[in-house]
Amino acid sequence: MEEQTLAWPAPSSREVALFTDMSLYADALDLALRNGTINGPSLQRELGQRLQKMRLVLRQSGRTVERLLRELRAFGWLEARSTPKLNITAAPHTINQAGEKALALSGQDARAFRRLLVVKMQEIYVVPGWFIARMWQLNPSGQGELIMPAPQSDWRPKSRNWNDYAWNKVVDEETISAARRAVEANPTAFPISAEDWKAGVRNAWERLSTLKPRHPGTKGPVSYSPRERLALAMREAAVTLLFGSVPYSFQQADFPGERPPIYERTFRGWCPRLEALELIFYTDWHPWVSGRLLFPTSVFRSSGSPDRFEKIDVQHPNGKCLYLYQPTWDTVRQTFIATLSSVHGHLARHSGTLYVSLLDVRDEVCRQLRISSHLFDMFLDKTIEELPIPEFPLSIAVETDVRADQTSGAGQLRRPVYLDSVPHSLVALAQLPLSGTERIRQ
Amino acid sequence: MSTANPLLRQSQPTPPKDNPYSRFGLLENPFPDSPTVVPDSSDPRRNGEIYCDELRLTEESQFERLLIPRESAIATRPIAFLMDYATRRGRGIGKTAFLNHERRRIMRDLGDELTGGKFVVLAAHLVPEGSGRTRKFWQFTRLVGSGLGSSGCVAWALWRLRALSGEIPQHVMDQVDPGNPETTLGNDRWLEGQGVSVMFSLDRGIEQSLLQAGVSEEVALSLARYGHDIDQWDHSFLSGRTDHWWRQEGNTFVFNDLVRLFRAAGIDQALLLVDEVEKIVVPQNSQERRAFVDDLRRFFIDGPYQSVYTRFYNVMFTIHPYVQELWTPHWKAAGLDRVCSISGPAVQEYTVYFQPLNAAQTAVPLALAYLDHFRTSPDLRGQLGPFDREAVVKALDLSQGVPGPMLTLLRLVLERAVTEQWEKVTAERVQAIYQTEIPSEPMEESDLRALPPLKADRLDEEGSSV
Repeated sequence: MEEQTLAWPAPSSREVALFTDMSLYADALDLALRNGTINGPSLQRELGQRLQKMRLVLRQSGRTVERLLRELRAFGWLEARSTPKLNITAAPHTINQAGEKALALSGQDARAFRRLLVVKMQEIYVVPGWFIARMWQLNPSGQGELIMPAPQSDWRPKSRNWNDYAWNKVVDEETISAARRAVEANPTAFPISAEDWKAGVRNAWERLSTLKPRHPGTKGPVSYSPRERLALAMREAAVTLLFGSVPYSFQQADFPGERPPIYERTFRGWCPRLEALELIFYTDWHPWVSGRLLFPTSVFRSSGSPDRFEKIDVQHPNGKCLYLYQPTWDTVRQTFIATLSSVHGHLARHSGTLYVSLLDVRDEVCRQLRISSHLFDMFLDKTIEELPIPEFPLSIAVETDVRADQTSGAGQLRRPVYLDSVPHSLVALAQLPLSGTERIRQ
Repeated sequence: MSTANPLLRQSQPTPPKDNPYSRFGLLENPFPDSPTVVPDSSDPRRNGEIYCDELRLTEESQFERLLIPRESAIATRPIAFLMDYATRRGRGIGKTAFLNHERRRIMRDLGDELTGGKFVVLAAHLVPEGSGRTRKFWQFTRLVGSGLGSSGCVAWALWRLRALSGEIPQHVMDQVDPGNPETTLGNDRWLEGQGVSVMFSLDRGIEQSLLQAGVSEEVALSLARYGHDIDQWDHSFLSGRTDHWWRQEGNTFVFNDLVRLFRAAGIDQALLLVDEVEKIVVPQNSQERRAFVDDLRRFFIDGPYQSVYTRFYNVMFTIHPYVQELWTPHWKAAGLDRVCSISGPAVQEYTVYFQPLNAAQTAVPLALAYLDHFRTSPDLRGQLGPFDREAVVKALDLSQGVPGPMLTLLRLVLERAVTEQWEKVTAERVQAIYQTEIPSEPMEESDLRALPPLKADRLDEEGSSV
């Protein structure tokens, strides 16, 4: 109870950019160095097309480059030359010495650059450290694991007329079942009572129902999908209840002021950011959870052994420091291969197929081991290189097929597993037959 | 630079004395320059002619158990699968070479040796077209119909009909090579030269017997007149069929007419070895997948077709891992799981799994199969030179037990041995070439409510465990 009385400092900005591609920072700095100056239009023109997860982004939006410039200024890496009659985005920006150092670091050591970004974001937004602390605060026994429920994938009620927004029995039942499923998956990961959950979702549903349709129809009445609206309402309710100013079931705000530190809209940007920075892991596609499963891969501690933890210059108000769980391959090797094999076996038995979704395997292995997806990619690579070994006489294979669920919609935004920079999607592990074990390398 | 007339100049083969591989006792580099098997190629390194059957004895015995009819054996599977057993590290595990080899084994004596002389069996190796051109069942039917023609199955049926027709005198039959009747029984001019009335007696008699067997008129006429010649039948009949014809008539042609032809020729079964099934399944949408497996059931298992009544076709699908997942729900919905499990524990009863290779046991015979084929002297056969044993074992080990990349690696090593004037190729040299030159290829019931417990130590514990 001591921790919730210690307030985090007020952030200097709450308006975080929603882009999640961390390579944009370095690319923008590089352009600034090479061209002398950059501004919004030049960035839009010159930032090349890029693959964001499985989605091809041909051109960054005006909003993205505007926020990118604002963040780089806030980090103290770019300086805007004030020009009368020009808005700040159109003004020429130049890279300063700190920016050049950051750019050099990004080229030399991508990992160190990610750590620098954590520190900078903490300075401006306070969210990274606070977010981790909040997760641990809400579910200390479950190591910060949280579930934000969503309607079950096969719940597909008929579309409804825009004006027919009554909170009916079908919606009510799905809301309750979503909470029940979350509790069944992990009782401590969903600390919200059924009543509070239902009230929160209903409030959000009613708020969304008062909005005007984005595309008013010209041919007859506008309709909406109850599934999509309920999913949005659940997300909004979960963010409000779990990441509001006052932690759920606590009394005191851990941020000064009334405004929440994070909104539903900015939450959408923060999760991928914190995941890319290796502070948390999250997934919306976990095979056993309907909704978002998220957990920290970092923790506030007094100290940590270097073969397991990496210290980041982010401090909790109680004085503890942020440590990323970054075990070395030698310390985690046995556990990683055993977990990989057991999770693969579990999914393979369920699907009845030898090859299963590598992304599903990754999500559960990361959950069980509390490692980031970057570490998973690295450890999988080492596993492929090393298997079979006497303790694990296993053959492993991976495939690059782009699965149907990765080709469109939200599935394109699921982080692939990268091996040699190539996205992979299927994995198989098989016990070697007797003769095969003879070829185990000593 | 040559000044010869470019219209008339011809390539100048390297004289044997300049062959850089001769100092190793080799006619040329024996290892393939292409990682794929091209059955119609004239190059023995590429067409699957060089094959080391010691490598796949387990798979071969499973193949025979599932698909080859035998008097005393359990019934063969109308549908079976071939897939790798978590052994893939890129392409080149050898499934295509295996299928090609099995087809050759069967067609060599029409399954005489494999079935203990009890059955007459044919086999066709079918490779679907890519880019979604085999996504519909009628396109698959076209693949089967064309494949049975191009692989010689139809021609063999006609040669047998000719041999059994009674229109060819015994002294003429005595001149026919039973292992390769193409140049005799399959050659109208030769037969006419021997005094056989091909057009008016032989073809007419065969046409009548096909009509009596129930083959449709147009097909019977075409088969009797051209079916004995693979190219001529393709030219005169198959290539003229439009997509519309295949949609409307293709199924009757393949699953009724051709089956009646084969049965009339005394053939008991045909094996359809379908390679690269992902080219069929991956481009399909969900409805097409469902329709496809429904049609598989209809034409192979329980539809009103001769192929079903006589259980004539056994089909083996070479499935890529993702295909298993894509097909599973449709396979179950179509009820095919009771005929041939595509998933679950019973899948082993219908699947030939490609197991990983044991480098220590298989590297030497695999390398020897290629080296022996290109030796300058028969006396050198059975020798590994210029490689030593450790070198070829190392090559297979570095290729993670996959033969395709190993053969590519050995080719590169041998090329380097020639240019660098090496006397011997050792494991160290193989390792060095691997590191610098090996081309990398693209990689190719439980409680589901509760999440399993964590395996990580508590991250927040400040004690000694973390």
